[in-house]
Amino acid sequence: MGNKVHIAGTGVISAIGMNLAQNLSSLAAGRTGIGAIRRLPTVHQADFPSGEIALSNEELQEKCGWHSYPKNSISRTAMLGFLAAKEAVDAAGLSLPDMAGDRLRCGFISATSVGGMDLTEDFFPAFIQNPATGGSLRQVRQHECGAVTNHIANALNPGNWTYTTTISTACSSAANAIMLGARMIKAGILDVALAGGADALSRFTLNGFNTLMILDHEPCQPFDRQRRGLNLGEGAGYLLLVSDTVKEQYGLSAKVRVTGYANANDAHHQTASSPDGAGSYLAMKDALAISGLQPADIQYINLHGTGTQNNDASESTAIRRLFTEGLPRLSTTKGFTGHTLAACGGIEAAYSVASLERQCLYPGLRITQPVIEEPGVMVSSFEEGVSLKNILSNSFGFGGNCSSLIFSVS
Amino acid sequence: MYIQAASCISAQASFNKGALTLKNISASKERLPLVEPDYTKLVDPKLIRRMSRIIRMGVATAMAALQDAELAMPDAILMGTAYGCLDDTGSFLKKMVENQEEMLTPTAFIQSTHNTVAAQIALLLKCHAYNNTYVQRNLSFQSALLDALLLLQENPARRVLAGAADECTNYSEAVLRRFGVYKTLPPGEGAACFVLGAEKTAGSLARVSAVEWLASGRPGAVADALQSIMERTGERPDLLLSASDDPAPAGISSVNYTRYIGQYPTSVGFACWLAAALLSGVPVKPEGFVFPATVSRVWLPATDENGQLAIIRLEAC
Amino acid sequence: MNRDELIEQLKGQIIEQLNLQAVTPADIKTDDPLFGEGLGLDSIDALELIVLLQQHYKIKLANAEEGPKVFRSVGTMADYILAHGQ
Repeated sequence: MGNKVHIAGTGVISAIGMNLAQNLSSLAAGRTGIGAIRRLPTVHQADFPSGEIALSNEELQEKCGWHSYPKNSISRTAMLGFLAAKEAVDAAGLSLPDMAGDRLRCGFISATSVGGMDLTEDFFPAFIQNPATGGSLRQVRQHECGAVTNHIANALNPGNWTYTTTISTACSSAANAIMLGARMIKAGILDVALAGGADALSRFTLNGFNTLMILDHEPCQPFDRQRRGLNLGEGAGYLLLVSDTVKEQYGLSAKVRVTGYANANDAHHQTASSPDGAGSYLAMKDALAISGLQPADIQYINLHGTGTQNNDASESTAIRRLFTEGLPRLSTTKGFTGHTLAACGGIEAAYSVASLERQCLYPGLRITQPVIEEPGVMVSSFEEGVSLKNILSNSFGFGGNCSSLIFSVS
Repeated sequence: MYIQAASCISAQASFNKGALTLKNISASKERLPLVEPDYTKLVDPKLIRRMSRIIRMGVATAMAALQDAELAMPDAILMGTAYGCLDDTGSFLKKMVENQEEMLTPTAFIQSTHNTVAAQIALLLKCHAYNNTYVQRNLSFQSALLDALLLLQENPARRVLAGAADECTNYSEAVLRRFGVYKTLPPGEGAACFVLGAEKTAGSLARVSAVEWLASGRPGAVADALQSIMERTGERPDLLLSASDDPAPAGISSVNYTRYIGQYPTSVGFACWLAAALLSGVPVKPEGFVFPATVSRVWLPATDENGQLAIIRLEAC
Repeated sequence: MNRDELIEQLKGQIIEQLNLQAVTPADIKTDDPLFGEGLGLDSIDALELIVLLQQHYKIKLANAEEGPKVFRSVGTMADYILAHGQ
């Protein structure tokens, strides 16, 4: 069976909060982070409401303590990632000297869809005018996704990562990072895995989604019959995963475990989900199999629930095919944060862990005519005092990449 | 873990089977042209129209490796790429700037995501299995191989397709030249794909005995790391294939293989293909270098700016 | 420009916009379906065609759902352009 995988700490930054506590209080209060774009310089500022983090790059850099770096040399993705990853480590109560490479085998497994694209797109106008000299090279040092990961890894605990890697599977990226971290601990290859994802808003992504005509011009209404598309967001979410031995040896309080995970491919279309949700069905079913649970053991699903016609139809079909004996409670938090792409699996994993620790359910927003009509299924307001043992969290992406994670109370 | 089949597209005629002479192209200053197969023979022409070079290379080497392994449906598809789909990324960025964010078309955007190569392979095969893409700079392919090892440890019945691909574009070449990357060796690009399994099949080329990841915290620690692995395992490689001129431990034959294919971050895919070819007895003759008379162990060391080390250890099977 | 000339022009523009390699204007029959069988176009091509209308004919489709009707064939595209173009 291998090791159990304990969640010793979580960290989140998103449009609804700079840390986990702020995120949770926004979720409980029903306070959305979706609004007009103010910071990202784009001609579409007024067209597409988004889940933008209010802080400027300068303010974020200050918050990271990265004073020595010149302006516009650190990707916003790296700053968001660092803040959430550091929160997860601090929350775990594992000190950095504990995490030295000669004491524990630690892995940093980070996910991002566009890495340092926020800087690359600032570099491009001058560069294409004159490729030989145009644009400052400091703006493309972090273009590579792996460069963002390495920057965060080095800032957190230099020279102490037995394993550092980056996963990029579009919107399922962070879920795959958490899955890999869990598998490596289970296999005994790592003692500790810091896993999750980060993505900053960029013109590249905003315009890209706009060409697909799936951006909502209003605040999104995922899993509602009147849904019109998605709002983009930005942020980061990380989990600090530890083995049984580390949990005991360091006396860590970890009440929730990663018990299930699966990655499947829809193999239907580069961007669209199949009508029957083949990939998402397989991901959920295989995650249940890994955890040894039955559909009836799942009390709540944190939906991928982006708000596009296609995703929500496909996902609800897949859920109905799998949960034939009765549906678990369902909601999607993307109405709060927007779709944070490679980060969403990490952010929503942190929310799911909090739900289990606090025995509460966070609602979806703006649902008037639910896609799932059965009364009492969709979570439409904050609920406390519920009884939760197992939560399933979905993350599906372009390229047919579908991943599901299961979190369980120990 | 056994390499049951391998396929590689590079600046050398690596896609062909059989004896091969590797031309030394290190004097060239220009980007090296690829020796490419007729893609229409390997991929439905209707589907090729949207595929940039990295996708074509990745898909073609995947199909060729699967054919060689007589495997219709892999149990996992893993890709490693540092830069991903640079051509589509560049063309979308250019249009975005020129058209001031108006009247953009979706094709370049949807093909620009890093997981496109693995996704297109899945789509062509209608393969619903585990599918992952690693984007860890020059260690991306080593991450894919480590995942393959893990997948086979979890279920030895699996057969895994794992590959590496990176393309060079006018934009990336211009930027990397400015960073001074091509001062000594010219720009290159390429792809390699492997079918991996826990069983030694009749056609197996080599055994991957380990993909070792180590924290060193300092650049240039490769020779020390190799020395300590040699002491720990009692094994000694006959040949090191490296993308740099880092010094090797005393008495071990070592070559910077990028002098044959140019520089690109996941070139270790080519090195892995070359090692498998040598270990399976394919006569490969490199210009300006002599491989040891017997090659039964080949190690592929690599490191990054954080001093993260990844060493692929291969042996004859 | 009359309908026939418009249709010929459209065929060339479609081939270019969608990068239909090895397809000539003569291969595209005016009333044959563009999607599914025949040319084998998909939903991404539909989005490309929306931009084609915008770029070359200054016609903006309000939402993607109109697509299937307008882009049924080169003939229906031409009719739509003649009815809505400036």
